[in-house]
Order: sequence, then C-alpha cells, then structure tokens
Amino acid sequence: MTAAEIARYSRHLLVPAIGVEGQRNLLDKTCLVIGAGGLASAVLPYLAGAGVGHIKIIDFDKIETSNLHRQVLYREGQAGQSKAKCAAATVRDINSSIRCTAIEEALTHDNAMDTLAGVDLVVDASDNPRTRYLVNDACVLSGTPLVSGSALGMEGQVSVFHHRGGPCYRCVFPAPLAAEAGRRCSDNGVLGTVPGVIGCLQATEALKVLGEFGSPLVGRLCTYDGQDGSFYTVRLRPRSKTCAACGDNPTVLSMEGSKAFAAKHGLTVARVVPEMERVPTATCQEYADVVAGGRRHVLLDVRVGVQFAVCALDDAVNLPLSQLEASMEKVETLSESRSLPVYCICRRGVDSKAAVSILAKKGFPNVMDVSGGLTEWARTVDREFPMY
Amino acid sequence: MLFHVELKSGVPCLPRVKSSPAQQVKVLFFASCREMAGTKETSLELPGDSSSIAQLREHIVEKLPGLQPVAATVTLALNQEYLDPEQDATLKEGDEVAFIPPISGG
Ligand SMILES: [Zn+2]
Repeated sequence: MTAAEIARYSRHLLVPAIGVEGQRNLLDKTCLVIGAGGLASAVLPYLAGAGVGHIKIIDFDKIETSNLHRQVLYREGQAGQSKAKCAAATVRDINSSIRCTAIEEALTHDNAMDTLAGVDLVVDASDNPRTRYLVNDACVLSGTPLVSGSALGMEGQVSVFHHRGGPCYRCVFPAPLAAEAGRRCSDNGVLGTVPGVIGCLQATEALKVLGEFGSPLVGRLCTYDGQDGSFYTVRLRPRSKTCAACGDNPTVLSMEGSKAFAAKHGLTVARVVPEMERVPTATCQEYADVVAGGRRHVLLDVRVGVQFAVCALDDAVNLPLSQLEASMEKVETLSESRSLPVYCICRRGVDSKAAVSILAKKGFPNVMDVSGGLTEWARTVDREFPMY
Repeated sequence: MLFHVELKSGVPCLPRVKSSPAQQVKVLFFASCREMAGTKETSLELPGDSSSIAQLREHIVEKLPGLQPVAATVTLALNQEYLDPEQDATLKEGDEVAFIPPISGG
C-alpha cells in the first residue's frame, strides 16, 4: 500500500477486522451497482470513500425533480441529466484514485451477462420486480454474490444472496406476487431517508463481502420499519433444492430462461401498461362530455386515499381498488341500485380497468373505465390538472 | 395433548381427546400486506389441536379479505424463521407469524 493509500484509508486500517488485508481486498475489487436512485445515493458515496477499486454504475434514467427528496446524490441543476453520468462524476469527486464506469443503459436480459463480466459483487439498488429477478438470475448464472436492498413507503429490506451457500433471491421469493407484478398505477411514495438507511446497510454488506471481513447478512432477511424505528430479521433457509435458479435441477439455465420467466409472470418493463382483459372504456374526452352534459353518473376513483388527497376530479368518490370487493353495498347505493352508469378512474388507467372488471363480474350493467386515467385527463382535457 | 378417561359402569372405557382451547396466534404484516390487511398486526384465534399454517391462511382471508390475492403464496415467517410458501406447519399458542412480501422499490 502506498503512503497516500495508508493516509487515506487509515481509519479502515485501524479496525482490527479490516486491517491492511481487508483494505487491500477493497482496492482490488470491482462492484456493479444496478440503479442510481435512492438506494444508490447512499451506496455509491460509501463505496467510493472506502476505495472500492472499480465501481460500475448502470442506469438509463434521467434525474427528475421528484427524485431530489431522496436521491441526495443529485442537485437541482442536474434535472434532466443522466443519473449514471452524474453519479459517476460524484464518485470521482469523492475519490479520484479509483475507477468508475457509467453505463447509460437499462439492464436487460440481453446485456446482463456482459455487464456482470469481471464483477466481484453486484449491489441491486433497482426499483422494480423485473430487474430484481433478472439481476438474481444473472448473479446465479455467473456465480456473483448479490447484495439486495429495497425500500418503499417507510419500510425496507436487505439481504445478501447467492453467497457462501446461502439462498438466492428466488429461494426466498420464488415468484412475484400476482398482485405486485403489473402494479404501476399506485406508485407509492417513500420517506426519503428510508432508502438511505437501506442503502447504508447495503454498502456495509458490500464492503464486508468485497473486503472479506465480518459476517455478511447471508441467510437472513433484515427488514426495517421507519414508522416505528424497528428492525425485524428473519432467518432464511439455506439454498433451496427446488429453486428455479440455484436449485439442484434449475429451470432458469440462461438469461433466455430468465426472460421467459419474466414474461410468464407479467414482469413488464417499468411503466409499460401490462396487457389486461378488455373492458368497456370511455376516453377522457367522452367522460368530460358526460360531465359537461350534466348526465347523472357515479365516478369511482380507485386510487389509494393518499393519492386521492393530492388531487382528484370534482364529484369523484374515493374507493380504493383493494377495498372494492368488500364495498359492493356502497357501490350499490351510489349507483342507485345499479341504475346510474359507473365510471372508474385511477392514475394511469390500470387499476381502473381491474375495478371495471370486478364490478362487471358482480353484475353491474353499465360500468366503464376512463381510459388512461388522470394522467391522460391532464394531457387531453385539463392541462392545469396537477400531476404528481 | 390432554386425554382424559371417563370411567362409568356399563360404558366401555374409551379415551377421548379433549378439545383443547383455541390458540391465540400473533400475525404481523409487512410492506404491501400491511396495506392489503389494513393493519400491521392482529391476533387470530385458531381452533385447538391441529391448527396449521394452511388453516391460518384460510382464516386470514376470511377475516381480512384484502389479503385474498396473496394469502396462499406470500412468503411467511414463523417466529422469525422463514416458511416455504408451500410448506405447512403446526402452530401453538403464542406463535408469531409474519407476512413478508418482497419490496421492489428503491
Ligand atoms: Zn435460489
């Protein structure tokens, strides 16, 4: 180690568990961070500060104003710029003696194996289930350990997968939950610090795996609840013999197999509306005409209450999709015993379709989806309508 | 399990399983399950003797129908230990079951 390195990393060198050997390991290693959002805003500065030899960052996205409350890696003036590029610039500012590569692409089934080549550890800091399974499968196929972290609302999860005989992500979550796979309408919020907490835990695990010290969070799933400030850790099983990725008879034998799995489970690319059964539909303009014409009807806004509170159309009644099945009497009353037409609306037009489908199955004769939801309304009918 | 034997003259002596009292099980909900359940925590009374995770899944849907779409497949933990989604297990008084769906955001 050079004199400059010794000076720079002295506070690592003085930790008995790390020492010169641990620091040398860090300097020699390559780490790939998937996603440069809220989690990475904590992960990247710590990896850079710690002197991880080569940090690769992959993200196709641009910085948006609504990111700034949690993605503290970025500045107001960077809105519209590439996340991967801006993140890499900050990493280099923190530590000019390490290598940093920005990859301004989406991680896909097609480029995953190339992207993981030569990488010692992957940190999953992505934001969607499709990427999470894809990353896991690429890690298992290439034999790369994975530090997985996620955050939503006021909760987060962290674990180290596919390392030292421990389970992989699929062992623990064999398939995405049906209710989750296509959910895009209710973009839930997140308390800005929660991805920060989880990102710090991920960085800690990453440094332990790369530096080969401590006991990584293998075979344990750590969950954090910011609401009451508690951690709840679950002991996982060892690698599952029946796991589709890392089991004894795996079915995901290539990234093609992983892709087929994603298609089968409706794991769509972010913000692509999943294919859904056809339901009766009104365009936003058609619905605007119904309102303008004073025609009596019911407008059910099926978003969750917090989104409804942000903005809603006049006369809309909030009945979240998750409560719809249990609220048939209410719909019965609102529609005056099914005599009035019922329109369903949500943020982007996915949950509203599901609502129409539920009501149709319950025998409501005149139910329609307001196509494209409030996003479309703001685009085509009322440009002043606030979107969030 | 408690057995008690009734001895009555003229009646054949048969051991009978005394139905054990209902068991209280604590159920915790995380992430999206919290939203679906409308609560973070509940206490569920399950019939005695052969209460199982499978039964618990059924009872949960009856009591909290919002969980219907995930109740059968969601990852569970029993006393902070992972339970396979397809696995069943016998529950006892005071057990703690947690519904832990994956979080995807970041
Ligand atoms: Zn596995």
